[in-house]
Amino acid sequence: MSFKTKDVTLSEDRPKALLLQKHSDYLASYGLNKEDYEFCMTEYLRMSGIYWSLTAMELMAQSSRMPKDDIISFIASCQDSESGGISASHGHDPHMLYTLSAVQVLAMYDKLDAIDVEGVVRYVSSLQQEDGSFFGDIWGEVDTRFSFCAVMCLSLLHRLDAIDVNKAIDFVLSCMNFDGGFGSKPGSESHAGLIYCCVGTLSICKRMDALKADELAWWLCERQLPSGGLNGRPEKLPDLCYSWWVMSSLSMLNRIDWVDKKNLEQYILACQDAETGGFSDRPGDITDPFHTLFGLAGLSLLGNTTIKRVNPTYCMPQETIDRLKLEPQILQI
Amino acid sequence: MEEDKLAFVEKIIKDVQNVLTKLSELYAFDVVPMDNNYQNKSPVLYLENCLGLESWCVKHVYMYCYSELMDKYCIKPNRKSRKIPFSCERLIKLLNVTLLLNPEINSLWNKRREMTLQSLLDRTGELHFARLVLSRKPKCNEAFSYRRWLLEPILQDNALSVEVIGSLVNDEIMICNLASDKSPNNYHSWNHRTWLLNRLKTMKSNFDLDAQFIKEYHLAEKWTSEHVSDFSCFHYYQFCIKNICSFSNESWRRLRSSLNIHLIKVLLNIIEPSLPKQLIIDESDTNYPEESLIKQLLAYTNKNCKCVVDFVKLFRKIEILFHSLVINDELVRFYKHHETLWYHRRFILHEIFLVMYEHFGLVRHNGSLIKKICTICNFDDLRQMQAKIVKYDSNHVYSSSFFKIVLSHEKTFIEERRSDGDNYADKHEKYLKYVEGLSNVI
Repeated sequence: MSFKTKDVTLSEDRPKALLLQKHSDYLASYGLNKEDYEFCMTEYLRMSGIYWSLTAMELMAQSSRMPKDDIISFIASCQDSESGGISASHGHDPHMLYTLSAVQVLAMYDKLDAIDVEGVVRYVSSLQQEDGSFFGDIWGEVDTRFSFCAVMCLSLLHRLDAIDVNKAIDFVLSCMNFDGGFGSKPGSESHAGLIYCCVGTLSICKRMDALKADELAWWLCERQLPSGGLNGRPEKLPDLCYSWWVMSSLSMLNRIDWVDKKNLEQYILACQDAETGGFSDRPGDITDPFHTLFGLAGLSLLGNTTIKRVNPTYCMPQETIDRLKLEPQILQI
Repeated sequence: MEEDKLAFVEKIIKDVQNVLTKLSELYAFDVVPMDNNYQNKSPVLYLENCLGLESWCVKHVYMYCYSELMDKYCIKPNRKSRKIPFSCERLIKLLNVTLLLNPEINSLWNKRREMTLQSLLDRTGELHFARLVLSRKPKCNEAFSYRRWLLEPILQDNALSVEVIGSLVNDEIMICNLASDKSPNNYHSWNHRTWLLNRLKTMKSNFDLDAQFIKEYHLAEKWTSEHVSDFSCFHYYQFCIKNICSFSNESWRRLRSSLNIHLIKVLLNIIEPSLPKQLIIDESDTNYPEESLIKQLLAYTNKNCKCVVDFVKLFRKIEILFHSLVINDELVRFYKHHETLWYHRRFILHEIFLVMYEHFGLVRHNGSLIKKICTICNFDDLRQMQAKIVKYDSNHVYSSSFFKIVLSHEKTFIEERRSDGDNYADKHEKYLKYVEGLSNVI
């Protein structure tokens, strides 16, 4: 590769083995100090934080270390009785993002009856617009992320009938670019995270045929850098979370072999912190639950058998998806 | 919290609020790294229209403000009895400090939305506040999103004067420029800019949108040549190219005279060697024989669509794409190994091939060329049934002068770049072969 590529170099003393026990300890103690500044700064996304931690623990078969009952009652207390939507935490407003996280967590716990399911269905469907797009909340921001949230959330509840699925698909397809990628809105730049959302939407709605699969897979594979890590857009630095966004999209496209898996595995392992546990965006940075989940989920997609199988569409354990009898589409080639 | 500490935080909140009374003049906010309170004076700094907060106090101030906000103003009381029983002034102070320090909390922006709807905050002041937040966090989508929300009802007013629209547009553009400059590959700032231009298209006013697009085109052309790794601005450049292609004659003339090159000259430089003598045209003549040129370049078409082709617009599109291609040639030569530049080249070529396929009534589907079903004239149902086309048809495209010119330009360029050691040249060749589907001819 060229000498000017923006990338990182993996040092020789990087972690090369998977430190499962460390990660489990890290997540189990994360956020125990609720007076902590960091905890306070991230309260606005608490519900997603719970989803990241729990899913990571599930994939490591360590979810018994999470305070299940507290989590379930916390989620129930975050549902807004009027709109039916769920917020990130107490005192915050209901939003599509956190409604999905809550539903994912409850689906993993097989405890969907802890919330007013009809309320969630009402909330999600109320946010669909004439053109098929979805608002993130009542204030009207549109984004393909919210389309994915809506479709995933309702499919987990087996209530996709509550929205106009065809229109939802049309909107997502209107965000496709010439390179096969997707952005957040019609005409927006292709971005690996948003590609995952759009491909995921089509996977759940079983419309993978509508993709420009070759163009898209080509673009996705070009995200891999000499270090083995993946970036989310051209000439950006690698970031561990793209091991998930890119690899899950390639999995749904049935083209996971188009990247150098060995190199990617090395990069993911190098993002572990051998002292604190957890994964970070790049080797040497501070770890967090978000990157910890996507590191583990990425390794699962790469076939690491010490981690449970992850479903590429839902980013949840395959066993949960099987239990719910969901069959998101994988493109057949 | 101990009493004196409490009083100190209160003093900070008050000092920040004092500076914020001059909100419209404030240029930037930032946290200033400072480990300790050495001099025992206020950590709130105000200098040359900039607001600063010393970093040592951030944690205390944030925790204090956030907690009070949540406890007193956000947690819903037992039943619906939320008729603002609290001090509005206090709420605004707390929101200001908390959002300046952590602008990603959507629910707090929502509080401001509610207060704006109740006229407890005014839209102009709020636009200033969001701008101040963006000065520190240029990638903050919550702040951009809030601006869109604030602007929406303003722009819905059909009686808005051209001057007012112009000044609103200038403000947004300036904010986008600053944010894009501060943070490379800024997805949100370029997206916001696209939103603005698209939003203006839907307005019924005398605002000269085409003139704005000419300005945007020039900015994008300049910005991309100065930020060759920033694909977000290239993506915006592509948006501008697509938009100027549909210009009216008058706007196109304005665009052409604003360029410091002759579009036709650029195109002729590339195509002239392949043209028959009688079609060599005078560059200074502004009435080109567009139709005959295109027919010469692309030859006869057997497409089964009766729609009238606007050859003038088609020709302009070709001109502007070639102009962009020539700029790209130079940039790739000068700045080696830039994926972004090669990605932009893909866009240009893709658009050029689209023009050709369109001319022949074809469309690419699952990797092969098939007849395009024209949804407008839709004249021959029977023929549309035979979707796959025989090879003869693609040969028709490939044997046109235009296709040959473009392909030979690419081949020469790839060879030149390869021998200069740019390994994106190989990637480009493979891309044309396997993604653009030209493996038969390369």
